[in-house]
Amino acid sequence: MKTAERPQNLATAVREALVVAMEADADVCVLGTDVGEFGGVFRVTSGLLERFGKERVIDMPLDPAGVVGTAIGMALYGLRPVAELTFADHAYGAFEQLTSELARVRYRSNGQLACPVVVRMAAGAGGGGGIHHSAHPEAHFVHTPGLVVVCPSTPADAKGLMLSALRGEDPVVFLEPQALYRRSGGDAPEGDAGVPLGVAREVRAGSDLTIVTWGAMVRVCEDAAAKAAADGVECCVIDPRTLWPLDLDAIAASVAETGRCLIVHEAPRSGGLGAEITALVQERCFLHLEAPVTRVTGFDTPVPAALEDAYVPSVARVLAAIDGIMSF
Amino acid sequence: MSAVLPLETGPSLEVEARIVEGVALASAVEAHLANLAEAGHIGLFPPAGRARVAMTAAALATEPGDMLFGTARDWVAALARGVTVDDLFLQMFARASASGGGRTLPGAVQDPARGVVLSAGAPAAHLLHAAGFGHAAALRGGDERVAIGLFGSAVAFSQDAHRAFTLAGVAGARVVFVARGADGGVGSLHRAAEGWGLRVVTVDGDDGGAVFRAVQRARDRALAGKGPTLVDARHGDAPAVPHDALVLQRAGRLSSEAERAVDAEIRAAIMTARSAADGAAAPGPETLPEHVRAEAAHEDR
Repeated sequence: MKTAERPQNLATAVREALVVAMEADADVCVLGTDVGEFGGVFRVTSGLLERFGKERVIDMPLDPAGVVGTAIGMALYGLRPVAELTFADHAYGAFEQLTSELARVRYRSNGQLACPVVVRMAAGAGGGGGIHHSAHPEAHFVHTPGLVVVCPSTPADAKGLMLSALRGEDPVVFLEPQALYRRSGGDAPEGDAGVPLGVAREVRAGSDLTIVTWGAMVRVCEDAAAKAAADGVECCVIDPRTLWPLDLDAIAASVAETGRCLIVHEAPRSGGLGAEITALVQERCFLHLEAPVTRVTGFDTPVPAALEDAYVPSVARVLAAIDGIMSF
Repeated sequence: MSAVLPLETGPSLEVEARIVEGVALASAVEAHLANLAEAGHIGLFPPAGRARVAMTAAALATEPGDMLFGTARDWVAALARGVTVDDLFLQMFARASASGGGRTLPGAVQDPARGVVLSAGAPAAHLLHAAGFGHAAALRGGDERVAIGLFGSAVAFSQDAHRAFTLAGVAGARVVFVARGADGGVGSLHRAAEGWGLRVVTVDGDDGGAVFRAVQRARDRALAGKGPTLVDARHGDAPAVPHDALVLQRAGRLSSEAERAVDAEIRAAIMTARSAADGAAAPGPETLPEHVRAEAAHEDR
């Protein structure tokens, strides 16, 4: 494949990962609503049906619990299903299968059974979908023992993390930021380029303040960090990439150096993953802290279609938080 | 279409005898466990009751490569799939050496080596897993594995049961659903299942031979690519007409000596298992974080 044709957005990067994995492993199959003939609502699975056939690219009724439950059974048979729920909001309809069944197969069988299902879903705002098509529900899944939770922010990470997810033995909730599906984000590497699960990426180096962020908020924080640098504040931006298990060592090492920590996420504030990271940072880095750990998040409301821009953390809100921390 | 099977061509006498003996074992085990639960020696214990006939017969109709999905109440089927009384008691006592490591509701046997995965989650959640397993088996087609999904009439109207029937029918999954237990006054289950492409076969849940043959035929049908079947093996309100003694007599296994020997054998097996489970260790707190995830690096802090 020529360099000019490399995947440059999240949708094409995930698709390439699926192609690589399906070519390498005949047990990998894809199932979900419209994943076959239609190629997926976001076209992530476009072309897979023609390439791999209906035995491995399986259109399902619009029934999230049915999709996840079927995937569990397929995994217990020995396949490696990739289940698409389209929107993360649809995961609520599959909540029991995700949290009480999929997540617990290994634990309840005392390690006798594995259930390596990857559950893909579009997360967050960006499509104007409003209150039932914009959820970013990582906190629910992080709170569920047994699940690995992934949220890439670049095409390279999307491809690499998906490949790793498909080679592991754990169920993985793969949150794909809706806002990034069509946004250019650099080339995904060619071939089989896995990115290890549970390892954070330092997006930007800095010694004054650590920003922990993921998904579509990484770009926002990069822009804010660039503006802050112009005012003499150097921010280290860390993208955990795998939200659980969290690479706390990478975060703590940075906070120990900067003494300040800002967490930015799109999901509602209360009970969000930011609260957990805040607790972990103060447990690990209390004596290093120069200012309170601070959060910039979505609001404790659903995401209204007409007010996406007001809801989602902006560069201005992140800059205001940076100012507040630095002047504490 | 719905069918009531004739009784004249049942399973072999040997199979019928195995069903009767399996039911006798399950009855004795259940009586013992019920007493233990009453005395507070074990946790929540789901009895099988009269459904033990259908559970035993359905399980005996499966083959070694099959996977049996059920609830904690289907521990009787686990016995018929080869789980030993010793293993069952370890599971009921939540011991460390139980196949599930003492992590589930008593009865929810986890023995994938014997093709038994019993859930204690939402009452019909496992039927989707059976449909998925059967869907995968149908897609692959290279082996002769079939999923068996046992369920009680109380979940016949649940979303999970109906979505499992739908998906199995649409996919032509290699799955046999078996309704067992009291009738529960569920009248429309057949029409709904047939509408979704399942063949429905009705048998008397108290007639082990009929259940065995229905499940065996449904299994053959699934393997032949003719789709899933719902075997309605619920029992009615009227008490069953006992024919166990007749079966054993015809099989040459009923005499006062033989009867006493079988009773003694069952009693001894139960007391040995009870004693072993009493003396077995409970899982230690150090096992708490084990098997949350596969990777050691993923273990929670």
